[in-house]
Amino acid sequence: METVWLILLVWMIATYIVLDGFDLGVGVLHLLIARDRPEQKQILQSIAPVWDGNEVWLIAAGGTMMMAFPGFLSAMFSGFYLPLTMVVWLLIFRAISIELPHYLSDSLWIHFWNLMLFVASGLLIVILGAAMANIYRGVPLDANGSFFEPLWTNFRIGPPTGILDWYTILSGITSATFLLHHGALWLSAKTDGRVLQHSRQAATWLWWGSCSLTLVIYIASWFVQPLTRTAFSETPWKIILPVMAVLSLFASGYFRWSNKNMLAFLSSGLFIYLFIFTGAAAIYPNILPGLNPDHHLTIYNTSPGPEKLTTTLYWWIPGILLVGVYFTILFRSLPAVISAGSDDDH
Amino acid sequence: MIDSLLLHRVQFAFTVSFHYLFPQLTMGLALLIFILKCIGLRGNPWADAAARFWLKIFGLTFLMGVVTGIPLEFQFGTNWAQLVKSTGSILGQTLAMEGIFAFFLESAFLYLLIFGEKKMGKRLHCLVSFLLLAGTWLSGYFIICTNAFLQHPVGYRIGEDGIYHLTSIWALLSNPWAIKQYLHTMTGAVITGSFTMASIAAFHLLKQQHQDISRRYLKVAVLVGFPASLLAAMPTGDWEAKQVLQHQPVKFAAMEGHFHTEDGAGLIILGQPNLQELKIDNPIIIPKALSFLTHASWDARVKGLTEYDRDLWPDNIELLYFSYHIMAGLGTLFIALMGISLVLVLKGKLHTSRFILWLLMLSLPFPFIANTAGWFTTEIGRQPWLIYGLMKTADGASNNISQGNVMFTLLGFMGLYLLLSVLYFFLATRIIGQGPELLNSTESVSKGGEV
Repeated sequence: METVWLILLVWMIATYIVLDGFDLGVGVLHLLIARDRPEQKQILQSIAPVWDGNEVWLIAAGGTMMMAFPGFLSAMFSGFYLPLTMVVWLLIFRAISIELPHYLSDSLWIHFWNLMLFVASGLLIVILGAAMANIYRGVPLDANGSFFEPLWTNFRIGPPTGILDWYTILSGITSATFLLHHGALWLSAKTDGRVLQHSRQAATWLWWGSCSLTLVIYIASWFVQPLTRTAFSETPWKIILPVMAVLSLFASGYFRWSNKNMLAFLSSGLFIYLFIFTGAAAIYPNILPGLNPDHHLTIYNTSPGPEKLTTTLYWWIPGILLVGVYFTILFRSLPAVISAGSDDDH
Repeated sequence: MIDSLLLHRVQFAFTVSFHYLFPQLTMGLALLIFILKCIGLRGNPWADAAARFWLKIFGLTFLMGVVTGIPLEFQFGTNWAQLVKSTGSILGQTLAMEGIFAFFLESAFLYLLIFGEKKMGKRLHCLVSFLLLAGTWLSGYFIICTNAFLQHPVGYRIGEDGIYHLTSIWALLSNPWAIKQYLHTMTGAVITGSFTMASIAAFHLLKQQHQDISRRYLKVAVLVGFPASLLAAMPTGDWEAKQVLQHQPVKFAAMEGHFHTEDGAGLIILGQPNLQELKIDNPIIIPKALSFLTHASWDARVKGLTEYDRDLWPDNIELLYFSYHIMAGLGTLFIALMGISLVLVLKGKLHTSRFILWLLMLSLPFPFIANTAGWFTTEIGRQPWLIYGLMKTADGASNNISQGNVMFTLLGFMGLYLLLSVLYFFLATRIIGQGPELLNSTESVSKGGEV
């Protein structure tokens, strides 16, 4: 039952990253692609109705994590105290810089918030990757299952570890590339005209970047976290996850090349799912590895026990089905293609 | 050197108090907007115009509520890790439910409600406003359930390792404490919504702008605001006070400023608690009223603070006492002001009664103060307990974070929330200045009937 909840939790976190990932990517790209105000509006219209719903996945995943693995949440959140608080601040800036420009049509005001959106989204997509890499690399857990990590030490993977080292920075750059690629594909699927062309060009470059960085990060991870080698040698079937991930990335490139932009976007989403599941499978059944192998947090020593987890499924499954209905309504309410200068007053 | 625990407490208190300024308004307005949409369904274009105007304010306020709510979810883990480690599997239930059942609902339909009016039919638009109402009010229930577990824990079992296990999700969701506190909290939110609406309407009427629409929705605000003000005191406030007396007698004695056990205890209306001499300075007291209110008997015995071990006293009795008296005092004023307004509405004279319009306009901050003071009463009064009777606040905070880090984030939140306040006031003032508008000139206010 712990394993079931781990899969559900990883699925929720991955859903958050796939969904909020594209609007964060778009938050960065809008400043690079748009030439004038109508194009900026066109780009931002593609995310304005959905960013809030996408972000709720983070909150829902947080609540689920607290319920299913309270020991993991308490160790991780208090250990990453500073970076997580900064993530919260960035999320605040991201949200207000999407919404506040509509309230005042003054060019300085709009420029300022667009720049804030660019900065906050950009930092968030880097931090997401760095955070994942910190969990994957492991942290200096003590016997009580808690730790505190400084923001950086000597940029080597430790000990002493810091939140930023060469591996987590590499992972940050990788996740930024993946999510910019993902965002560019969203724009390719949802816009027309000049924005469409430029998004496709950007997606092409970012696809090559994503391919190379996937290779680099897979190799680096193999050496950084010893649990990876154990996982793939003891349960070789897990190799199917990274292989499928790479195939999805290739599929995304193929669909973009053959101008099926929505399929390319969906394949990129599938790639991100599989990429995250690869990481989780590689350290399973650990959920937060310690630098000292005796202090690993596992799905067993951080959860309240199987019977409680079973009863929770009774409300959780209908709840998530309901969420599926809301998202179907929400995404269907978006226009199929958003053009520059359309009269939607948003 | 400042105590790390104090910094954790101040940061949570600051961020949660600031946050709750917004949801109390959105939960109240969600109800009022739904009512306006229903009136609009019956062929009253003014009500649709008023709903559209209030949706703009709702949208801005909702955004502030979202961005200031996320830090709270994070702070459970970052600042109160010990609490989460032992009770996360219980508190996480209601927090996850809030996300899945309420936040998704709100986020999916808010955009459609604000921007979809032209594309949707009137009935569908009204339905969406109901879904938003359901989302905001459900969210309130789940978070009150989470709080109620801390106030009055139910449905749990403590394992040998000190970890709390949930024994019944139904017990958690039907916690009697939660139900009473929810009703009291929601009437408080409706008071905030209706006073805000009445205040802005009064402002426009006094400025002689947008008079037709303002006059009409002012009536709606008063017709909702009066019963809400009444319900906040009787019965919900009374229930709440009685359950505090029953389950948290120390909090009750401290908030009433009742130091010594007495037969026929008086109700303290005004006065300053004097902790050195354990008495109230400059008291104004209604004799025997406290005994009557709590036990329905003028001579009943009411236990005072000195009956209890001093270690179990809340650590800030002065603030607790004043919070409670500010809430109760303002609550009484709300009933009076809404009562007078209601009489004038029924006589059809409210929109010309300049004095009462001035009072309504100036009353804008008071519901926010009263709601905040109410939460101060609940939360300061729970001290020194984090989970009442089971876990002390000192045992719930993260113990692996240095004071410098907490001070850093506290200052960061203060700066950021100062910025948010400035932005909110600036933009809300602009929206209010623009006032409600009809969609096009063919719609005329006078086409619609009266409420």
